[in-house]
Amino acid sequence: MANLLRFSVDRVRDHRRLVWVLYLTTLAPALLWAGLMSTHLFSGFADRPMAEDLLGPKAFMTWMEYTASPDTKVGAVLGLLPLFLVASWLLQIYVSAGVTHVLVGAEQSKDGQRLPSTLWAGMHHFGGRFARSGLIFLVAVVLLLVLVGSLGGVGTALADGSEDETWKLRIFVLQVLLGLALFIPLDLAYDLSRISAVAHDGRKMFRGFRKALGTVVRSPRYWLFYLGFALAAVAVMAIYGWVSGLGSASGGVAIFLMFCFQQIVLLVRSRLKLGLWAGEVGMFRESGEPTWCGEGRRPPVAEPLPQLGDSSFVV
Amino acid sequence: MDAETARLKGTEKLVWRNTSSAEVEDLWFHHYLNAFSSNRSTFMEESGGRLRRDSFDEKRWGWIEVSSLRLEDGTDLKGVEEYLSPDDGNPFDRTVARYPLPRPLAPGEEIEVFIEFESQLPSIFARTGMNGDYILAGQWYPKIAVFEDAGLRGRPQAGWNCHQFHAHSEFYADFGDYDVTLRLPDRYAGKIGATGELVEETREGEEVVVRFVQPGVHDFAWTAHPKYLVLEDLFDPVKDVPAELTTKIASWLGLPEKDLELTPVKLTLLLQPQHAEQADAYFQSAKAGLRGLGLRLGAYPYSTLTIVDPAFGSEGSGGMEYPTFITGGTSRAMTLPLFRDLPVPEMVTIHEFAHQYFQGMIASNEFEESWIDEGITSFYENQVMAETYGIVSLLGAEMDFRDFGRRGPPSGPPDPIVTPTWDFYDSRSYGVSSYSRPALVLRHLEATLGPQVFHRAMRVFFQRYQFSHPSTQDFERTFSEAVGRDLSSFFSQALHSTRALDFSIRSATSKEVEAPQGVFWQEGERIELEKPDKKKESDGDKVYETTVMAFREGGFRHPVTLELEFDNGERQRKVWNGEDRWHRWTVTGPSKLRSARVDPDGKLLLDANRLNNGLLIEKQRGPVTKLLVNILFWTQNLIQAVGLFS
Repeated sequence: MANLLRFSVDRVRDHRRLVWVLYLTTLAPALLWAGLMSTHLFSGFADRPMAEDLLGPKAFMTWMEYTASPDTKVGAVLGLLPLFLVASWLLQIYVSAGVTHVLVGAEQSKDGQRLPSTLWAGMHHFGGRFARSGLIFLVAVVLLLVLVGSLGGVGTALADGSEDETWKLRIFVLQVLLGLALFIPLDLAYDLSRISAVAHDGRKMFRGFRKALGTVVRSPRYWLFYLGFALAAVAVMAIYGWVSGLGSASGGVAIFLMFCFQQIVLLVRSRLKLGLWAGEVGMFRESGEPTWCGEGRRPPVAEPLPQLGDSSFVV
Repeated sequence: MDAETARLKGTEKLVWRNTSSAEVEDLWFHHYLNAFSSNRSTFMEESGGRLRRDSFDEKRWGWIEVSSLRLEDGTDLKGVEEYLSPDDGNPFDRTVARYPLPRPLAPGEEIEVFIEFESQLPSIFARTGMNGDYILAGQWYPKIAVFEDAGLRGRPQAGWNCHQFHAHSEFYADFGDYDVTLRLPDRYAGKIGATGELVEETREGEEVVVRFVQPGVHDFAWTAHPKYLVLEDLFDPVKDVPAELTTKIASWLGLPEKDLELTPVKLTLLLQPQHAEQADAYFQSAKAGLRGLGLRLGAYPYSTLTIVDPAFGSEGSGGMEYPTFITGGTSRAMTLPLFRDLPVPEMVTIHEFAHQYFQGMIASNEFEESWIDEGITSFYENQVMAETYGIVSLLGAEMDFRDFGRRGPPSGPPDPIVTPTWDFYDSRSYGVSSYSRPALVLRHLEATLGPQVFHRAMRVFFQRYQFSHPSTQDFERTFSEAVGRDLSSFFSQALHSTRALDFSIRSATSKEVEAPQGVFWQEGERIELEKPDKKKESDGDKVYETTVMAFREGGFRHPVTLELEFDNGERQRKVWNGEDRWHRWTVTGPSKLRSARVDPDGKLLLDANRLNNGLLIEKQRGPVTKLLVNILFWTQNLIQAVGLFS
């Protein structure tokens, strides 16, 4: 575990610019979205006294009043949200292909001149496979939800049979825990199979996912590693919630500080995400760089990666 | 009661007096349980077997059958029994029965009727039934309808008011003195609750026999469950009514505090063992209702209040009111840290308790005017919730109302508030028009008239019509009288039309008035004024002409306050009667306009669109920037969440 963590820290340190890549991947579409909203908000809201309530504790109710008004035009923009999210998902799929390519590739590249070209090459070469893999993962998650959801019926039946509603609660808690417990190996297998595909130019994404899942299931410590990063992300959001609950920003400076704080939170989360992915590369190495997705004609990544425990990346 | 088959056999002695001025030729009864007898009943056709997030279990249909209905002289009217469907002509509906009398009953005359009946309780659905060992028996006996005299509720001539049981309707009944004996298997001993006071409980073999008595009520419901925790408490006005609340409400009502004295009430809570932790929440919320409504309207007149916590899986019987008997609703989840501070079960209890006043004592016709019970009750629920828990429980309803006004088919509220329950466009229209809209109408009146005037008028209405059947017209007339103003125009628009109340500021300008220049005559002398030198002019010399255009966008005519706020901090107000479609307001003064508003204090709760209530001369970018910053942040988070799959 400590080796994985060290590997993750080193990789992120070597590729600090990737944190920015991940951060910008969410910022750019969000800016586009906020830009679309701003055209309506500045023209139809900024000249209304009601907007002044946005600065106070009634901000959420004011927003709800605004969206309920027949004069508001943001409804059309909000209606585009699902489409927009699908587009942002595709963008992130391609970016993750590039980022994985960089992480799996030569560590010597660090943040040097090769980063943009390696990133782009990964997006170009593996983007389609990552998209396919994404769909496989999506189906797996839907199946997981169906499985976990069907347990709800068991809870209701137990509760009805015994007239003890705590069964419903107990089963609900079980559903949540089971859902999370099963999601972790699925997500790990998803990421590891993609790493394998990049490392060996493999194309058999479903096979890769299946085989990676087998390895992950046998390695519970990988789950703990994943859980650690997930809890860290939750902790970051909890801190954000606590800080933002301290007061409502009303002045220009306070709004700017709020903006900075929010973006720092997202940068930290991007760093955590990159850290997890880097750690997963470590897991892949530790597992002996298996060819879960098969081997392609293209030579694997340019330089072999150091193995876990090598002095070159052990701090 | 045969608890194995959920079937009960009953005998009913009904003493009915003709209180009208007309002769009565027949007797009409509600056979409510027949609503659950088949999928062809009007209730099931309208509800599709789904109501209040509950589904009907077709494994056990519910029904009621009268085997004999005899008069004192032994005449059995069963042979002339006739089922009618006055609302929709549905031949399969058997919820209204008519029995012609051998001779008409004269005004003031009494008749005794001896009824034998059998009732099959369905699985718990729509307020009544039996699940496992849990029984909630509502509308379980043949129930005499209301014979309305000419003039009552605006009726041109006397006659029976007896509607079929509809999916969205509740009930309508006359007041009477109930004396009910129940016989159940002895496992229910000590675990039975009902309308009124328990006066006797004995064991006879393997049965327990209980007798409940309650005068002056219009319905009787009962419940039994071997698992009930039976807890008791006392509402003691000395301990449970804060002096400052009495003082505040006495000042509103303009009454001495001693006139607001309340009386002790015995509280019985029939609680599911799993909810033992929530006993105090039930008791405290019931006490909040007793003091909140008691102080405002008059003391709760009965000596008991029974609160039922429905068994798990029987939520269809929760959230219901019967005289001196209410059902709440909660779950174990409400004790979890995440939900512990949400007083949702308390809100349900307060709402159902408020029904003791509006429908319990103000026995309105819930079939035809559901707003009187549900709307006024929602209003008082909101009042008590705000003063007890600091929560305006109608906030969501307000948004619901505006959202409904915008999206409701076909664009705007499709029905007036006063609409027979079975004639609403859909269930949402029934819900909004019976609960949130009328509650907002009352909040609107409270805000515009002031709490003193409003609460005095409501108290007058309650005191005048308690234990009778007032109509919407009675409410309007009494309210106007008590307020001392003719509010008929307001009520006609708010309750009887679908007109939207919406005022706006469409334009507001402030321009500098040029100093006079040219030739003028002053006291016979001709003088010529030249264009002043702008450079020498100080700000204090400037005069601005401000013009504001206010519009009535909706059909609802209503007086509205206009407010102008100037750069120097000065504010001017005037009241526009809102009769015309638009109003131009022009003023001159030393300062430029900063903003113009209609309804600056936000008193017009019925305003369907608050966004257009004002204009700022200069756009304020700060608030919208803050909003955008938050939109950006949460969109980034959403994209990151989607990124979990990337």
